[in-house]
Amino acid sequence: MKFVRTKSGNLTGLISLFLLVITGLLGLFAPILMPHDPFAVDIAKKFSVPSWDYPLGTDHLGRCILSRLLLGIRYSLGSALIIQLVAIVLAILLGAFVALKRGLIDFLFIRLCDILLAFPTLVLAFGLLGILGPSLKNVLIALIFTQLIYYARMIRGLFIGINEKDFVQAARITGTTGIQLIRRHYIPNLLPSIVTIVALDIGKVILEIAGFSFIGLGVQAPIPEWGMMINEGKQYMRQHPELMLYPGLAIILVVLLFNQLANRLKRLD
Amino acid sequence: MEKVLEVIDLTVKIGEKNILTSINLTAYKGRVLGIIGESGSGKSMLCHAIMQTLPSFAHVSQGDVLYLQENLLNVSATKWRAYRGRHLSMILQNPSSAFDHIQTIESHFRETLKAHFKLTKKEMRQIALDALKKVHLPQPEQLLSYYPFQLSGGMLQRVMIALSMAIQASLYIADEPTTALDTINQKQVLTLFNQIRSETDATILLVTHDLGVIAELADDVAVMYQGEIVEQANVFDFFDAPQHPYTKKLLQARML
Amino acid sequence: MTLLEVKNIEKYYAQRPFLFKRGQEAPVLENVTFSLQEGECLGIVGQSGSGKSTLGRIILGIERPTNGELIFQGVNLYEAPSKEKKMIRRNLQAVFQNSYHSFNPKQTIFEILEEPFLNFEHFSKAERQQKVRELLDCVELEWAMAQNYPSQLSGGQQQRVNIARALALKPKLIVLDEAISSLDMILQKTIIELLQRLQKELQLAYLFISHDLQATRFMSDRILVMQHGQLVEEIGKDGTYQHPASQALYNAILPSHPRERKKKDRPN
Repeated sequence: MKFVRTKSGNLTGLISLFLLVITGLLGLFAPILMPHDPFAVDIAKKFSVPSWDYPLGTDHLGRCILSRLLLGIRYSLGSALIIQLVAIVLAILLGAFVALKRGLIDFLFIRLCDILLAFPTLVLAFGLLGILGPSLKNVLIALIFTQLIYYARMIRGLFIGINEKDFVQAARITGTTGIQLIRRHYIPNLLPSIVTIVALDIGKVILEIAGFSFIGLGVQAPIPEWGMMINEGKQYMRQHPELMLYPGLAIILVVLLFNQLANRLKRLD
Repeated sequence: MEKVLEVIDLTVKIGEKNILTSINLTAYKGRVLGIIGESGSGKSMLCHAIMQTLPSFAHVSQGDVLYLQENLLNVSATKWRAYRGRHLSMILQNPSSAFDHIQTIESHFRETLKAHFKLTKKEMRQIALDALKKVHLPQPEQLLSYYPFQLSGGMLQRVMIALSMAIQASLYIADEPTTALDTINQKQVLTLFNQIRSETDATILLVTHDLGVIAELADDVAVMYQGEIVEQANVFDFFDAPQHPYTKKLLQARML
Repeated sequence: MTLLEVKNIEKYYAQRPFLFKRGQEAPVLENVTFSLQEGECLGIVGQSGSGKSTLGRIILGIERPTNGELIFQGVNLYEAPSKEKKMIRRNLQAVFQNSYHSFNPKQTIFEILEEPFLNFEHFSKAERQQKVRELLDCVELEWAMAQNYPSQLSGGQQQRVNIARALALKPKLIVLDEAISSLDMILQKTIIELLQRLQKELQLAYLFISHDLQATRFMSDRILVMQHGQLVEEIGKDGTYQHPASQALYNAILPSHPRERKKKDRPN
């Protein structure tokens, strides 16, 4: 029974990964796959029902919803991936630095993190966006910053934890130091947990990007980021709920897939 | 001599593979039965099979475990619960993992006593104090309010034994009880077992890989090798006239 | 010739530091002074918590003492420039108690054993293979084992690999911190025999740290007894001692035959 469950568990993970790769490819080749120009306004065709020409219909400006969703993958999923990647790389550098240095730098770093982490990340990102002004670039900066604090603190903890391990001490005694220590011992042992956490948080980041767009602090129209699409659709919610439904479902699906994937990764570790 | 525990033709399998092969053992009242073997010989599995705490991938394929003539493998779940921890008590190798680190020593006593007796808090405290005094722990009153992480491994092992004494267990199954301790604590714990045995006439099943522990405490010895009992003897005969090649090798490995 | 000199080593751990304030300090080591000769096996025995492992960690450079000096091969390790220190420290290796935890679980035995060479020598892959083969040979293990992971080895084999790694840089001194304590008796004996053979062949010095007086007596030329962070006495060649700490350790030696059981331990 246990065997069957783990088998099907792996299958869920594989399916999630497969679907996410497909989604990524769709976003990558969006310019080729899009049936129409997602920015082309044609008021005459507004709110048209799904047809062969417009598989998901058009929005309030007569733009092709499918084309907008496809291009939106780049903004929603793509931004989230960039944020996570940049944040984790910076966090590894910063976390490793303070963990190996210890002393006063470490102490100040921890206090600073504690202060910043005392605010919910969304509130912190709000504040940053308020200062920087709303734009896609600033959303990236704000979210990279909030993720970075969180990750750097975590990675510092992981590094210090592994530093106490017997095998790291044994390697030091045989003369392994600095970069070699990190490359041979820290990274191979920490990578599985880091990958899991990064994957788990991608869903959260996608939601945050969409959230900022929705309240108008993030991506600006006419960029077809999914949260922005929901924002634009909300005026027509009663007559044409599908304007919000399609991007909403897209967000739910991708976030769900990432959570499934991360759950399986966690169990593999 | 009264038979307390009898293991008859016990075989434990993982899948199709024998982990224990027709084990026959008898432990008598007021005596210490030492089981010696190297790591991986199946000593711990035997303890788990007797206590019915085998991991899910292993199962008893044949044989009986009799405690005072009653087959433990057949008793009802309710009855077994009453036995386990009341009459049969298990002492583990690593005491710190056997305790809940966010509960005080006193609440460990309470929880154990509550499971088997109807007592007031005051009575439970008194029993706990008496038990801690019996295992020669200093300042028992203070100790009750301590948390497990505040005590050393040797002290925890003695608290563990005190818990078993508090419920007046009659059969102790001690799986490498001194392996994680330093020699001085080891000596204290072994002396304690000897004291329990002579004061309460309890039976002790002592599992170890250390010949010194056997020489110190055991009355009877069983040698376990690759899942089988290859030799069983009185402790003096065991040391003076070893039979099995493995036993001979073991005795030769003694230092000095 | 004197290989290692430990002079007035003291170690305090700050307890409960609150913000910037340093809390009360508890002594772990107090005024520890001794020296170790080339090719000698010096035993240090004491109960757990006596500070013997901390002493070992300080000698290995894992921890720094609060005060004191450490002089190895005539060089003061706390004053030497870091380059020189690294070259000196390669002559000082270690084997720990928990053999499995001493290995990175993601490395094969070959990777574990080639690591010291990667750190200090500019060997080609073929040369490293040759060296690892020699090391495995030295501790009586098969070359075929090199591709395995530590988890695939038995406890005794793991401890042999640990010894092989400690030998890789041809050290002068190996700190054996409870190196045989978690092995069963037959393995203890074979590992002790291995260590003694290597000591003779390679003119090694050992610092044998253990709670087990019997094993220490068997291994060591001299024995220092440690209690509450202090060296309390040296047990003489003839086994004479005065201190109660030594007495307690002697009393804890288990009999090798049931006939030798002490009467006073048996109330009936």
